Amino acid sequence: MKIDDTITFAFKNIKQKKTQSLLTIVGIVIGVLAMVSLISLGYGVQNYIHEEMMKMGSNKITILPMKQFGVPPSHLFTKKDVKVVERVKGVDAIMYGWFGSCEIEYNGEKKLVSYFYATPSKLREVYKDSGYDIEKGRWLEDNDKYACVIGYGTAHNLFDREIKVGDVVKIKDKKFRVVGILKEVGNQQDDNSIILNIDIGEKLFGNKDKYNIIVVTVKEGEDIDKVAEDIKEALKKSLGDEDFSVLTAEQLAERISSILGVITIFVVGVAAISLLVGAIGISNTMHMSILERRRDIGILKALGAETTDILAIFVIESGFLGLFGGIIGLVLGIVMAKGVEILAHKMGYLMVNAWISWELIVGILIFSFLVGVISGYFPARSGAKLNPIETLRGE
Amino acid sequence: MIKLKNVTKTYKMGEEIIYALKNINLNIKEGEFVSIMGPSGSGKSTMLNIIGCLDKPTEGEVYIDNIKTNDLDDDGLTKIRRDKIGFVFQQFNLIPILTALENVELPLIFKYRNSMSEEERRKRALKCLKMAELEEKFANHKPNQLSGGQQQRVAIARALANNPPIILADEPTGALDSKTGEKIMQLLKKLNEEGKTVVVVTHDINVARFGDRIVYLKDGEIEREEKLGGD
Ligand SMILES: Nc1ncnc2c1ncn2[C@@H]1O[C@H](COP(=O)(O)OP(=O)(O)OP(=O)(O)O)[C@@H](O)[C@H]1O
Ligand SMILES: [Mg+2]
Repeated sequence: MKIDDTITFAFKNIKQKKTQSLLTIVGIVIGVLAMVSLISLGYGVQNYIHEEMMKMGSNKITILPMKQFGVPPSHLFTKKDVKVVERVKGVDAIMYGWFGSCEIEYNGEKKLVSYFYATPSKLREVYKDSGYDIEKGRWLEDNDKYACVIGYGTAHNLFDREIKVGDVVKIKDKKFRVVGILKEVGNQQDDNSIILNIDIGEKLFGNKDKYNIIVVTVKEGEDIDKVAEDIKEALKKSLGDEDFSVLTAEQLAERISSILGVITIFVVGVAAISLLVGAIGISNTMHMSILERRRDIGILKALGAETTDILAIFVIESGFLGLFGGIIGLVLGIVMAKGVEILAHKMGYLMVNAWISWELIVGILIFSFLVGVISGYFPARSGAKLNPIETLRGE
Repeated sequence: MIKLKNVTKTYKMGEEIIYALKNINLNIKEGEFVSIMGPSGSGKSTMLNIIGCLDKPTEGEVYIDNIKTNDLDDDGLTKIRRDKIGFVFQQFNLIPILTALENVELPLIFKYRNSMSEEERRKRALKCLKMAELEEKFANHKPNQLSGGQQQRVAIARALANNPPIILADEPTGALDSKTGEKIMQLLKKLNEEGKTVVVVTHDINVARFGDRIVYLKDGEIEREEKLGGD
């Protein structure tokens, strides 16, 4: 039998039993829908983080005073450590400061925000062309004292009344004038923020000559990994221990991605189980359908069809059932992922993105076709082996 | 053309052995029209299925067009069925989802696969429908849109598709009224006169009379034969 004849035949069979076919593929539809939306969102978030990290600067190295994310620092950096890092060959600009969280007061309301202080000129040098753009007002200058720049979220979302340039906010009862508002970055931590000058910050929070972050840029043409390695060596020598981390943007992105990757694999696994249920559904329908069509099988064999012809007819039929389920699931999955993305963006979570690519689409379609083929294979094989007289007799 | 030599077919039912056919010897010449009669359960269908290579004898030898079919494997038997034999069944056995024309095309698809163009296939199928005297306007009807007689004509056209030398019909008129049945028998007779070897199983003596010879089966054995001097 020619392959296109087989396909035509399979199509006619599916069309004949529209309702039954539709019911069969519901399982596949749900499985594929779940898989597509989860993969799409999972990779979307990973890609977003990666891109943001790279935007932050593929030429930046971040140095933190702890070995791992999330653990409290064992010691803090001082001017001496800054000097050590500054002297490493290949280091261009350097910025050091402190990030933490504090309450700010505005219009009688108090809210928790993340704060960051550093020397404004150094901050700008390191983060020039890094997406930290001013939406309104201006950046801090080195001689600014009780002035601050606030994040997009702090200005627009956090308080009942929006904060405008020129307004005054209070931190620890000290008044700060807002001189600039940053553009939206897309994550809460960066958007609900306040940035101060280092002199004021150190006084306000009582951390004189202590820094919990150092960021450097690498000179053009230098190998960033090599520079990072040298910084690590230099700090190890001067501090006498290894309780700090030196991270390039790439490494940072990878660390976060790998955590997200594990979660993605887990949820996709759950989706795969629902797909398996769908496959069993197809297998079952094919089994029933072959029982119903025993007679046709006998006729086809009497007319000269070989066992492989019969096998091909049913396997292709179930393959197409899988594929149809896959197409519907794919469309619904993409719609769902996009919907989640739009909803999340509305709520300010710019990091939630639907990742849709040709690889995903083609991969899912091939996969669902194969699920159909495999689940149809065993019932089809038992059908193809039926003895023609047995099937023709029972009238 | 067809030769059965000491053919026995048994079925095991638990301990018991049932003889569907007992030591059958039968010779059917090329161009002959043979009717097989006998009471229900006498082994008529079993014999026809063995001739048609749908079934294998337990003992004995079967020759179709001088080919000994005992030695063939499943694929070999399939090829004999495809090339040498056209089947006509009581229940027509058309594929319900295919049109009349597509049903007739099926044997061509299985035989020629890629080597026959779609146009050629259609042409051949239409020719067969014409030979089976089905009006062309029914070619694109589904079986359930056709009368019993028309369906049986489609089935005969399908049996003719690969131009086999032998037509086997198991009670071809069994599901038809007597007038329609007679027309179908006239068609088979015409095909026989055009050179096909025809074997018809029937309960109906009026149907059997279309043959050149009637073979009577009883309890799996040939009871007697009757030669008819034309009809
Ligand atoms: N698969 C089988 N298993 C057991 N016995 C069988 C089987 N097939 C046929 N038989 C037996 O073989 C005998 C002959 O059956 P066959 O179908 O050839 O009869 P028949 O002459 O065609 O009858 P009918 O006129 O009712 O069609 C019967 O006794 C039947 O019960
Ligand atoms: Mg019978």
